[in-house]
Amino acid sequence: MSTTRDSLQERIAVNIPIRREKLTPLLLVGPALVTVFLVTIGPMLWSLWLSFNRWTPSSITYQEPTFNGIGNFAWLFTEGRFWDSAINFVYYGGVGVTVQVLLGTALALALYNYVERRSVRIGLLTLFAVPMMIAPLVAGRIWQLLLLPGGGAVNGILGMVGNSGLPWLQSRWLGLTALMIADTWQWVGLPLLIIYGGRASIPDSMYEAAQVNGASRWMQFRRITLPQLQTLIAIAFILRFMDAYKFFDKLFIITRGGPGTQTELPTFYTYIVGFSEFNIGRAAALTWVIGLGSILTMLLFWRFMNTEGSV
Amino acid sequence: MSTARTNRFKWAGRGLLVVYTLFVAFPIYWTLNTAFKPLSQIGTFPPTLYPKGFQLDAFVWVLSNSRAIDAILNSLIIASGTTILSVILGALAGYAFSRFSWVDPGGHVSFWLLSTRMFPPVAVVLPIFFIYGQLGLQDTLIGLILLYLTFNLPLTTWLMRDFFDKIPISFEEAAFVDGYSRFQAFRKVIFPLVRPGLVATMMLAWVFAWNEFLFAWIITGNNTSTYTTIIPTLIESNQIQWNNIMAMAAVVATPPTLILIAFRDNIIEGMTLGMTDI
Amino acid sequence: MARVEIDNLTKRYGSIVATNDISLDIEDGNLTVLVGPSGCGKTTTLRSVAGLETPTEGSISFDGVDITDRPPQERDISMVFQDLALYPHMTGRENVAFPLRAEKGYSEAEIEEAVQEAAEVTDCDRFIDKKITDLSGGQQQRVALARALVRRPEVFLMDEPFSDLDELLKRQLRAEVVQLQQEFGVTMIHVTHDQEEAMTMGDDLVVMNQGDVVQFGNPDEVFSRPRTLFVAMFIGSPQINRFDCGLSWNGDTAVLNSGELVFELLGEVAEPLRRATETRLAVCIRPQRLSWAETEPEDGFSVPARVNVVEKIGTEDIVRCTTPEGQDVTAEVDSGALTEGMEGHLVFDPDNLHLFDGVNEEAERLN
Repeated sequence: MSTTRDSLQERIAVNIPIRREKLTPLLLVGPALVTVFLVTIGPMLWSLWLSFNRWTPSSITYQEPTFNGIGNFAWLFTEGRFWDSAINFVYYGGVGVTVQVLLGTALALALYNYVERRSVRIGLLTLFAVPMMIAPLVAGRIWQLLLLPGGGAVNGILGMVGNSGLPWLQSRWLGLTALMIADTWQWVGLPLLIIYGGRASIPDSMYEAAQVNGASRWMQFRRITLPQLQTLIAIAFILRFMDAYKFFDKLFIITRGGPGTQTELPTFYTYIVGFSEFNIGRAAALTWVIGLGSILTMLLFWRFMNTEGSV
Repeated sequence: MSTARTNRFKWAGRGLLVVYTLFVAFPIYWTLNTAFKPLSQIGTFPPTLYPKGFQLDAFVWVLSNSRAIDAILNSLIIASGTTILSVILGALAGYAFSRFSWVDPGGHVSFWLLSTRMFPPVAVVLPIFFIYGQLGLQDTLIGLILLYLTFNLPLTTWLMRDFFDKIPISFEEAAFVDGYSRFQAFRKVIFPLVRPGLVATMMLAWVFAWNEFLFAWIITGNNTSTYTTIIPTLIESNQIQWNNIMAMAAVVATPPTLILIAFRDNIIEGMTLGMTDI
Repeated sequence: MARVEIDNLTKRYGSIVATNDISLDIEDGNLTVLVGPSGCGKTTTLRSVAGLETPTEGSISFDGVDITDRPPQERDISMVFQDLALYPHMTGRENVAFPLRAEKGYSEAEIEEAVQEAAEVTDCDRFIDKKITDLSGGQQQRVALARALVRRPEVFLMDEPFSDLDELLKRQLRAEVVQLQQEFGVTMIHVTHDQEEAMTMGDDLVVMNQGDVVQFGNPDEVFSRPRTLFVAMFIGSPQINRFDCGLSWNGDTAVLNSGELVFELLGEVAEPLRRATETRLAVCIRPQRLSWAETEPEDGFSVPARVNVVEKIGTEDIVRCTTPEGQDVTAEVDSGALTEGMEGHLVFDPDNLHLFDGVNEEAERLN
């Protein structure tokens, strides 16, 4: 009896890292992976299948999903409302995210370089993080109040300094700009914190070495600060860009896509197609188009992280 | 000359900071200003810059409105439930990812997990809406608690892995050599050291669940409305009661803000996915 | 206390071989030092003894009992880690008591007593109640030693624990560790990349390179009879002088020609060269074995040299010289004997030459 056990032990002795713990990590990781499969991956795969089906479950004659090939995608690419939302996304993502990242970078560097007292720096960092902690929907409500065309604080203050104010929320580009301002208020903190952390981790000796060699401030910025921060700036940019794909709450409360449907963004339009027109196949196709855009951005992110090496 | 230019940069930078600080602070101030004003001072021209006749009516209204109170309680239950689940599952997985490199070769598995969070949530909620209809999970607390794991579990796993990674493996190895099992080593050595990170992860998961709107809007009904779902529809009278809405905003924004202040360093580290360590 | 036997230990990580079929027999109560450059497999060997790595092949036994399959918890060992692994959330005293609390059966009074004793022998009773983060590097070392000693293990393992300390403290702690090891009579395996540390501490040295044990022996042996060219180059400070020479025979005279210098060896000294299999050989001489002469000795061996740099290290000077054609030669001579710019000859006794069969690291000793 004991010989059998010994030889068994001998056999399993070879090449297994801390033998008895082979199962432990799988037991630890398993529940999380299964959960992610159940609440995220599984539903998404089903929605991928749905995107190739016609399914309008709310219509009076209820019907099962019926396969219609790439019909939903074909519809999508001829639908003007989708293209409008895509153009809005390009404007919102291109201008809004760029402003957020550049502003965040400038603020982070100014805060690190030109505010000497650590307590003030930390206090300001905390203040700048406060908007991120507030529900986007609530932030939307607050900005809606501020931007009311008559009686809103923004136009009110513009009026006090002799400006007639702007018809916020009453045109496509002003509406999108209003969304951008509200989102900037809420999220500049993210690039700001990332860049601030990056700047704080550049060793002073790098700058001292440059100063000894007579490099000007501008040269130090060009040759040290920017190269050291460029990966983080890219990451901040892409993180915010991914969020732009998901942009929903503030749009829902501030403009509701209006006037008309002019300020819709892709996620909001998907919501309309899915939950107000109940055309589930089309909505699923839309989510996958948005998802693929997101994945492409993600791959960019991945490649950047791998080639630049840091983080 | 060089110093003159340096000074110019310095004052430009500080000027930018002052302007931006005002920009961040003003909406916060205006929320409180509006909440403490009587309705007659709202929407006036010129704007009423501070409440004349400071009053608490709006807050009293929020705290005595059963719809608001119920919604806040629902949010509290859902956020807390999902936090507990996601932190337990995330901490277990994060520990394994940190300590057994072969389950997370090159960090690819945990990164893949995090990347599911980047997918637009509407892609998940659309199918979930129908699945929940089949399972009878629509308009239930547990339904939303489980659904919130979609975004919270990848976050807690990623952050906990990051926090575990900061504890040297030699700390555990020393305990093994001294005769402690892995579980005992975890309890005596790793847990006390990871606790601040664990608390911050919990807080962050809680804040994200507390603030969520889209899932709640689609999945909940009358029984389980969260506070975010009643904000768009809170006021039904002809005139929008901005003071009440802003009081509500102030009330619901208070817990996350206090969490930020109390756990500042770790929350900031968590918000930036572990990139910023101030 | 135990005798540690390592048989045919091989550890592979994928295609990387960390240790290659190593066998060692470490005697009970000895202080054995594993020494070699980084990546040579010394730490892997130590961690295998601790049970923190599982060998791909081979076995390890303590006192004849095979413990290869036992996890670290079931081996009677203690270990001082490179980063010390002291727990920052505990005081020094709690850290020292930690190994005792793993086993039930010690009363608080016994723990208290054992901790006190360990603290006294390692000289850390003055600061044992402070938080780890409030201790200096040297104080932390002492606490780590106390923690490792408190349980009186069979085998005591040290993984480069002194590498972050300043020179003076390092020397002091080395001496204390040797003293403690002798007092307790414990079997100790110490890992270091610092050959000086290895020479001063070890009863035995295990010189490792690229996963192989290249030499196992006491410090004198390793220093005076290095088994391969690698050991000769690695052990000893300043580094050994090396001349790569072609070998030819002129009757019974072996002629070693480096292109610039020619050594003719006769009789017994030349005898081992008959075993040479390579045509180019490394001829080495320790700097300590060179002496200075103003003029070339009539019937001795010497190298013409010019003094470039004189480094003072106390009673001796290390002089860096070059031959007329620019080969570097280092000698260790009495302090003040030579000054920069002097020209003369470095004289040596051919009995002190180390002759190797070839010019690569693995070249084996001939004499």
